[in-house]
Amino acid sequence: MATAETPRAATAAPPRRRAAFRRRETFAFYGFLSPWLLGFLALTSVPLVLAFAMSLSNLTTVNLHTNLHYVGGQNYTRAYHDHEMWYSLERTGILMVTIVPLWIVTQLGLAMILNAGLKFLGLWRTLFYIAVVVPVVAKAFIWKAVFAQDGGLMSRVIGALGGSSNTDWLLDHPTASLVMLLVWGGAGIGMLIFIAGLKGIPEELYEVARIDGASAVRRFCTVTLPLLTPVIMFQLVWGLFLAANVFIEPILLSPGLQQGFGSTVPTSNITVNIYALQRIFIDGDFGYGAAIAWIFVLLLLIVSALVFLSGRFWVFYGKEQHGK
Amino acid sequence: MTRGAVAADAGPVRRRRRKRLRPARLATRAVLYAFVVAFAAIFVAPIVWGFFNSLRDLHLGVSGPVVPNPAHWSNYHYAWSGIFPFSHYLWNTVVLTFIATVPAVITSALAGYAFARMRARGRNALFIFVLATTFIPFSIIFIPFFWVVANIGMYSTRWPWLIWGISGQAFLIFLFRQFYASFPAELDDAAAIDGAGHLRTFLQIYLPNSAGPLAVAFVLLGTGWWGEYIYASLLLPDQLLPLGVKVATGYNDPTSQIVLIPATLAGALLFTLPAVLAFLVLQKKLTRGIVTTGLKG
Repeated sequence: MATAETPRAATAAPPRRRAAFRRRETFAFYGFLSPWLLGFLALTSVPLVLAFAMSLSNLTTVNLHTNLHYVGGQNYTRAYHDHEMWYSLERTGILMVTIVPLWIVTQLGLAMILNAGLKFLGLWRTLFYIAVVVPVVAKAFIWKAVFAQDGGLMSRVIGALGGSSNTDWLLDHPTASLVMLLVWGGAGIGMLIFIAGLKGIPEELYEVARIDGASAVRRFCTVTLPLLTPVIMFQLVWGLFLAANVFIEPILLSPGLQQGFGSTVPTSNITVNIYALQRIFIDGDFGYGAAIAWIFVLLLLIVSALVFLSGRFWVFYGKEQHGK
Repeated sequence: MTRGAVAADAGPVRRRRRKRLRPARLATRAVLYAFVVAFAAIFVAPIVWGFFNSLRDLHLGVSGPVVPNPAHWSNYHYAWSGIFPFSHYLWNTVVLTFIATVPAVITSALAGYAFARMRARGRNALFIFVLATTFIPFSIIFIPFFWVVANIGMYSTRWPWLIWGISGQAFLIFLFRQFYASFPAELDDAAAIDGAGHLRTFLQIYLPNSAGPLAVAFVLLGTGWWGEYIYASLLLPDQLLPLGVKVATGYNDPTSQIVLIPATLAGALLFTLPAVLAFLVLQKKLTRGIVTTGLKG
């Protein structure tokens, strides 16, 4: 790679050399980014355009069939009048606003407990994180055993507490079951990132706060929380993305014994992604599926942009963090 | 949150302060331990429950005593070789995980460095753009991707995994960028004075000090690809399937076609084991290699 030039020119160079340096720096920058850029072109931008083209067509198979033609906004109008599509969007939104706060509170709580200098730290951290590395298929089967109507762990625990011991969780409370699996399975990642964030807070700040007589609550509110806002922003942004893209868990967690796309996912667990891909892989309707996917992309981009822009009101960046 | 706040301040200074523990602090500590044990139990219970149920009679459900008696350890043998050759699909999983993970971590670290430490026209706009790509649902990419793959002869091959690998991951770029942005500027100046270019600075200063985010990246992405289900189930033929898909569909009773739950759980746990072991090996690295410790010393 042509990136190994000396940036020595950066220090006190005449204007012309500085311009040359800047050009080289730009060149090196795009050199460093080139694998990602190429991947982005091939894997994201081309498919995005293709998906849009598909959504304007009546493509119904993998092959380009002979009566393939442009249908304009027909797929979009159809989606607008499709109650099931709106319902799947609603369910996706509900999943997002349910899971993300649960994730952040659990993750930050676990991280703070683990940052308290308890004994057997490695053990606790491992036990909290272990669920994350369990592959989704194993997660699904483990939780199917937990939620089983006859002798499942959930029924046994609730039965022991005096409740109904004969609930078919996957059938009667599909979304609650899904949320439990997702919170359990996703808490560990954010916990690690919060721990890293907590370790990044200089101990001196706490010393100063303590000398000033700040209580634990006050130290949390004035030191921990502001300095963690960049991490919280990351978790928020990433959590929303993950929650929006919940896809395989509802399918694998469907009550029946059938697997894959043929399984009967409870309607309240059909996220918009599932709905779009069902239109393609069950109905074979590439055009309509692509239109739904595009609608969802636009909605999600709006939500993400709003969250990201809100950062200027509450995210605290220290001076060094701009890395100049 | 109050407890957590107490927790947060008890880092390196704890040792000095231990002698002065007052009863109130002891009580806080006891509550903390109660919390940690309770949470740990909640987090591990489903896995333990899955393990218990992998030991039940092959043709029965999850009813019966909590700990099955007798324990049918033969379920694991059955999961390994009873219906399909487990090791064949295990190897498939290893190959797919490797080609999709290792290049992606390198690509993402390079990009993260570029965004954090290099000045170029359009850098910030491009970074926001990278973040925005994180918010593109996989379905909209996958719908045309599937169509293209099917039309250019990459269907039923592993090529898509390598391509995914080389092109990196936006969330890892974000992770590395955030991490590298916190490095002090003096580090770059020192490297520049020594005559090191960006590639050398990256390889000799930044990368060796990235054990933390590297471990995070490998654990996150590696375990993600290890258990990947949807791409494999839609793109690969049986011969190339990873365990993630095979385990979900493979343990049907040969005659009745009913899913054998204990065998499926046994297979799923066998399949989980390597991911857990990889995590256990790498998790020590997660706590070390934080740049500030290196610079303070």
